[in-house]
Amino acid sequence: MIWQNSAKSAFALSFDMDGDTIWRNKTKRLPNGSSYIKGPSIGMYGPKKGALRILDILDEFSLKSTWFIPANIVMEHPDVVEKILNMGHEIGHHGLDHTGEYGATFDEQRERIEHCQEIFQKYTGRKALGFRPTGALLPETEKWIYSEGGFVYSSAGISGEACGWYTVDGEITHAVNIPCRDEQMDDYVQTVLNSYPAVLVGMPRIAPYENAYFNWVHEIDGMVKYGNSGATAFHPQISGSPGRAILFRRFCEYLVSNRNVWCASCIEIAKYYKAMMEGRDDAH
Amino acid sequence: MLIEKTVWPQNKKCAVMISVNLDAEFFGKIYYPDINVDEGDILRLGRTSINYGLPKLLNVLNKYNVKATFFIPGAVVKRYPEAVASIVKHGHEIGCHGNNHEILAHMTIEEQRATLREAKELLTKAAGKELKGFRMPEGEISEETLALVKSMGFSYSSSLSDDDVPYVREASGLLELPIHWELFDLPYFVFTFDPPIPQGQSRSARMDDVLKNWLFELEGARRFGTLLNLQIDPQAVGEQGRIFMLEKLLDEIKETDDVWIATGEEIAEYFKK
Repeated sequence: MIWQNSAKSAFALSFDMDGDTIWRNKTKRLPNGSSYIKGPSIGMYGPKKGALRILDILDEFSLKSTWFIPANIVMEHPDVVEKILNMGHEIGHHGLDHTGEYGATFDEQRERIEHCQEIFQKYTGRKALGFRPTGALLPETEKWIYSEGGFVYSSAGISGEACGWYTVDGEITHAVNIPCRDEQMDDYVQTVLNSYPAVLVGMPRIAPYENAYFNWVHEIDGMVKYGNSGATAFHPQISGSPGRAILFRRFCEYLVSNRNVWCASCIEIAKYYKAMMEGRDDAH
Repeated sequence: MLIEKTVWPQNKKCAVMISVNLDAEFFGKIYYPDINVDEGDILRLGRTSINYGLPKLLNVLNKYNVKATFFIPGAVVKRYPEAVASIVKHGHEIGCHGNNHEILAHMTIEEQRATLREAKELLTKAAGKELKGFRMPEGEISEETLALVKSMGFSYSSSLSDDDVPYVREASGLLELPIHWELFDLPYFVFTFDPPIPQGQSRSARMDDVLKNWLFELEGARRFGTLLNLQIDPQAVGEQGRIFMLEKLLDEIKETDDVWIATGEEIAEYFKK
């Protein structure tokens, strides 16, 4: 696959703007947990500051990106979502509240996903075209999502290394898989911390910021070498701190200077892939 | 730019607050809220921090002519009155860090009031003046806690992480001077076998790496005009091998005359205007 500008790889900077959802989900089972404000404040840094700082940096390098946002966060921070859209970025489906609970049956799961789409429609005037799941889904739900459900691509964590048609039970769907290398292409896993509850479990040390940065560059090198494509899962609540933003900016500088990589939003990559592949024998 | 830059005194680019969490052995409660702090590695590390870490820290602050803010649990004043007196003698600010390093959000509001009142009395007596600052003991608090803190006469909290410049918390009206874990030395270095601290017993960080994270944050603070709020536990950076980290950081801060170094009290005073 040759991408736009003759690039060997397509690469999407994408952001999981989870806000406090991931923190509320951790604290709610603790004593008086619903009243806690410390852990959730770490998450709130994302929509309050981190996202805005990242948007400024993306603008500086004229990069377009994708933002996966739980529908509850879309409702609570419509001003930030508006800024994301106004600056030409894409927003994608990321569940309602990041609980990963989509329901036990196909009907429940479809209803939950559509409920989020209604929130997207109401607050942003459009539905999401991309899907980054926050939990497990039934195969029949996935088949629906990537056909009648209207989603054009999936960008899930741990979904291989290559861009291609998204498959369910070995069956090709109408959607494109954009692998999200979430365990490598992010600094949340490497540098998030809290004591109560312990995040991460066991409270490992916060990594040197540069470790994360150099790993990103190695990932890009490998991606190009093998002709693969993918996406990040940066968390604005972490990546947007003043010091980490210095390294995120350095990464943007690196990406725009790398001619082997076409940097685009997930939807641009998915549409390009579809345009190139549709009509060919191995397509639908 | 989407973020409006904060205006700092004398048009400085950013602000730095050096804060010290004088937990002594109560640091164990960050990792195990119900731990007995009067035995084993926990107590030994606590005493080491007071006997060796604190004097070195005070010397360095003195050498660089920097005033810091010391957040202290009430119980630490009772255990180490001379250590606290030496801090006061050097002219540093004293703030409240709970009484027994308790998880305030687990307590009723009456219990919180009683425990913070006791801490405030002990600390005010030691400081010889009214306390302005409150930092929650690591654990959790609620909006109610901050409303209580405000009603007790404190002018600011330095507990939460949802910003990188001072802001007034909507629910309580209390000024917040935000903190971030990556700018706290203890979690990078603390290690005990029994009980395991940290719980997963990961290896201690390389000092140079931690310093580098801080220097990135300093570069970011200068670039984006934010508040760099450093948290120090004397058992971590006050240790003989690590104290150079603070010296290097202060060298970098003072390299150019563009950083406003202030105590919590001074920052709160500035934002009151």
